[in-house]
Amino acid sequence: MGNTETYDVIVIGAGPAGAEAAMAAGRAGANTLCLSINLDNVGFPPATPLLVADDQDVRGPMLVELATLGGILPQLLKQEGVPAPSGAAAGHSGRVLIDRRNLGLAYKEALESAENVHLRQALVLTVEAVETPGLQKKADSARWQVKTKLGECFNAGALVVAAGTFLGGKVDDAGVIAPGGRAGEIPANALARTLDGLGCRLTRIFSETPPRIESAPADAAAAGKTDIADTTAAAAVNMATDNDAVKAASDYELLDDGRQLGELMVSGFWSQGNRMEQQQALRETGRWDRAWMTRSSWSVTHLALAAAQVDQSLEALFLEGIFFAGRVAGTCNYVEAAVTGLVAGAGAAARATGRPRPDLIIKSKYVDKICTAVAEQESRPVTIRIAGPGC
Amino acid sequence: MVKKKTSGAVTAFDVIVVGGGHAGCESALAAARMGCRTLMITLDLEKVALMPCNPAVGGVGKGQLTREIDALGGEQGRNTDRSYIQMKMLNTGKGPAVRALRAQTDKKLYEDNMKRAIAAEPDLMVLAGAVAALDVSRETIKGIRLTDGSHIAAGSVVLACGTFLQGMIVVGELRFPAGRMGEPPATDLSHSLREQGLELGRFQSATPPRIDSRSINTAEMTEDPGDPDPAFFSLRSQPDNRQQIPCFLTYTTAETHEVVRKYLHLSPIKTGSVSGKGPRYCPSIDRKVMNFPDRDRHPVFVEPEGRHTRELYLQGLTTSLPVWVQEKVIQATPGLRQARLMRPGYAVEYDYVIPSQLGLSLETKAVKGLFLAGQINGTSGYEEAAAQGLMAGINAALRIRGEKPLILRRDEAYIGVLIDDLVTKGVDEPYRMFTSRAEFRLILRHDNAYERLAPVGHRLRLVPDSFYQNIEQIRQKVETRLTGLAKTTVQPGELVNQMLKRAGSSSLTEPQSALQLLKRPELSINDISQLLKGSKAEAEESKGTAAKAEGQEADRFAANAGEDWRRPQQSFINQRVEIEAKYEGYIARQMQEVSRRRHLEETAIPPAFEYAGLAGITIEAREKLTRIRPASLGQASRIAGVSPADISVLAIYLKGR
Repeated sequence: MGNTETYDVIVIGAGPAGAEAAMAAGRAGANTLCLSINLDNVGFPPATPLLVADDQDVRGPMLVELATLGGILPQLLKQEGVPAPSGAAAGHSGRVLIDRRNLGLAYKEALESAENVHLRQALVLTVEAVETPGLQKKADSARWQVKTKLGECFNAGALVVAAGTFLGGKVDDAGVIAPGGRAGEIPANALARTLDGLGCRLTRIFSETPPRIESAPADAAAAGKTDIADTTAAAAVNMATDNDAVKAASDYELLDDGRQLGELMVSGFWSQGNRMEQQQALRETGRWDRAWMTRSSWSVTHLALAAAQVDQSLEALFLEGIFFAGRVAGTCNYVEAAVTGLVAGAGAAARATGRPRPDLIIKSKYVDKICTAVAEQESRPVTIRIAGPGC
Repeated sequence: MVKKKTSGAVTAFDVIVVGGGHAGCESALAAARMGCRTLMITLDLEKVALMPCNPAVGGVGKGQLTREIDALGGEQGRNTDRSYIQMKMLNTGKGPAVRALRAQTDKKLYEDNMKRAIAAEPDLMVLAGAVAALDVSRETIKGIRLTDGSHIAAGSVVLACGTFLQGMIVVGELRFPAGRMGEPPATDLSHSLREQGLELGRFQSATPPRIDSRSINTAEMTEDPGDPDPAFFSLRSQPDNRQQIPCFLTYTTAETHEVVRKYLHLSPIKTGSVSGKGPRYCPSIDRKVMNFPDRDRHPVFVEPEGRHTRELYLQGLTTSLPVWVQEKVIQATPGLRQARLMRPGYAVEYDYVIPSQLGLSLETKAVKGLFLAGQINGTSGYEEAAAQGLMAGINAALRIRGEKPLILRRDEAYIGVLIDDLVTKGVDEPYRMFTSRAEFRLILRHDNAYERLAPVGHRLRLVPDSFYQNIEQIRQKVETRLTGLAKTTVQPGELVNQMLKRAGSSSLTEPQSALQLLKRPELSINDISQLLKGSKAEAEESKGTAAKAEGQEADRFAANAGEDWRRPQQSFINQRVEIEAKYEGYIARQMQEVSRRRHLEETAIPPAFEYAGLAGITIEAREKLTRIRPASLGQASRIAGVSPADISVLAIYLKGR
């Protein structure tokens, strides 16, 4: 059979959590392998383009802290020209909107270019202990072996599990419930079984994504002035100036979602039923009576670690060298995913290489809060509502 | 709570296109541009226009298809020009019939640009969803049903589902359902197609591994740069100063082949875990080593997948061996000894519809209004897919308008050859375009595609007026220039003969037309221009006027260089003139051949023709003719198993009717 490659750290998943973990581990000098089910989707934020809601949103200061810790997300936002809150910048609304696709591509480029990081497409099936964990304390020893769907084998001293909504994911896409990580993507079911087998207590959590509509439906354009045409035009103007969203109504909000296909996310709208029923329901709100829904609302339930199983460095209490980050750790948004990713990645690197972990992390207020919440809070997903909505 | 939708407001479109790949995008854009309210449904809107295999468009045979797509008003050519990272004209040392453009593309940019083109089309809607079944009543398409139960009505439906129909990935001995790696397949639609009486087959395709550009040693490979002054697929594209990215060429060695041979027993082609037939012309390294044991090396082109990615595509190392063997095979190849795998190669097996069940319009014979395009018809390649997509989209739209379908003949377009081959001969392996498939390839060239097809595209309103006028201007320029050259006499003279000698050509002893001189293989259009200037100088001494007129013509050309369409098109015009002049005799002969066969192509066979009552043809011919139902005597003559004697009988019978 083939050689088993040995790394210091293996990161399972390359979303906002996995990418941050791999970058942090690489920065710490750990030889890091980052695995993703599909390299075309690396770093792709699946749900909302809204990263931070407003200046009352805890994710704002969290992003600022992430920047001081050298996190990749704030750097990519800067690179993409997304106005992000900085600690001192008063007057900034605090809102951070992203182009999901461009951010994903930027993540991929960053991971591919990072020193000590190897990005590779693979679906992880199993995680097994190479030596009995807890007994072997030698820092650089390969504690864990990862096996993939295509039969590849990798060993590592530490793992970061950052499989996002893919862990045992079930997608409800307009009433059709099927295994899936996101709409149109396969889940990581075997990994869920293997974690269960290792004694992890997993709990199912839920996440939903509002529908998208076409920003300029033909019939709206033909009919001249309609609500949608107005808001879109306004959105276009606003995008150009402030990269900001437009308040279409008090209870719903249209968020620009990707400049390529020109879609808008109808934030705050949720309905059940099949696509055409959802579309009808949207039209019946009276605001967008000609809207064309390009993507229905969909939801996913997936498995995440239940409370009291990791310490504040996000390492499993009973599985030395296995760290959890992002949604599988019980968090619920990209910024929290990134922050926990960074903590887990740095921790995994330290565990694998035997070098001390940077204590800066522990001293960061919001980083500490979210990690504490992951470790101690009973409810899943965890919420920290210090200064506004957590989710 | 949502109210259950009752009767009344049924969502309806003129045309529904299922699939957002290269066939689907082209179909949807064409139908929408022809004024049909069009819906493109795809499993994942993030994957629109994805290039799942090689990051390239064009090449010999395929490049002609892409140029023809552009001439008809399609998108692939322009989109490639917007997204290229390297352009190369192939076979410049060979005859004009086999010259073709090939581009390396930035995969992500290609997707983005295609999405923008789709978003810009007001009559085109997109929808993320999976189609479960076709809605057919009285052998006519009525719409589709999604897996969520939604019904969407349509007058025409184009299916362009690529490798997703019952897709199954195969790597080594592993098999699992997937449309592409990481993406679930379309499981319900095959059943629905069978229910409509369509017969499906099983094909296989494969993609090579991708490696990290940081891990290769370019010193051990040959750099393969783009053309310094790149041509474009579309005459609408303007040259830009973008930096081109080189590819690298390396070769497998005996060592590479040894590794393959050692583990060949693990290859799906040996274990039998692949049931579908694979592409003969894009064989895996497993198959190459097996079929060509005497070859000591095979080329491997190392191609970048984009400007912002480090993924490299290994063209020539397609394999579905187990991943650990893939790594050994790669690393046994010079330049790739330290190569780090990023994506393993794999094979994918999928259902296709046996294409002899289609008419030349790509409409199924079983279900009116149902059109099929791309890999679902048993082809391979983005260009073949896009060409069919465009034609299916056009014909789906023409059906809505109640007009006759657009059918391109074999002497009109590679697209005509492609569709006629599929429909008439069927496929026994994934079909790929080659120049050798076109018997009239000397008149189906890259350079004359606009003259052949732009009038058609313009009539369909796919080619905008401004561009069409531009093409007409070019056509007239070429004609004027050719006439001018024919009328211009070059007198033998000292200066002229000196110039001829310098160009390696024999000297003139008596006056000759410039056109005759241009026919000399060693003389280019630029040589002739120089010669005419020399001739003009000499002629002015002897007060010649014809040469002066030509000289003015040449001056006018130069003066017009500032007009926006001229700069990229000036060299195009020169190339057109040169080819028309040099190959005039061959082209004329081929045109004669075309007209000799024209009567066969134009003798229509009624769609409901009863072959059962036709005495004097073989049983095999009767069977085949009944099944394929050729539209013309010409098409009938190309069916395998139908002999010239059968055709004679049929011809006499049709004449007698």
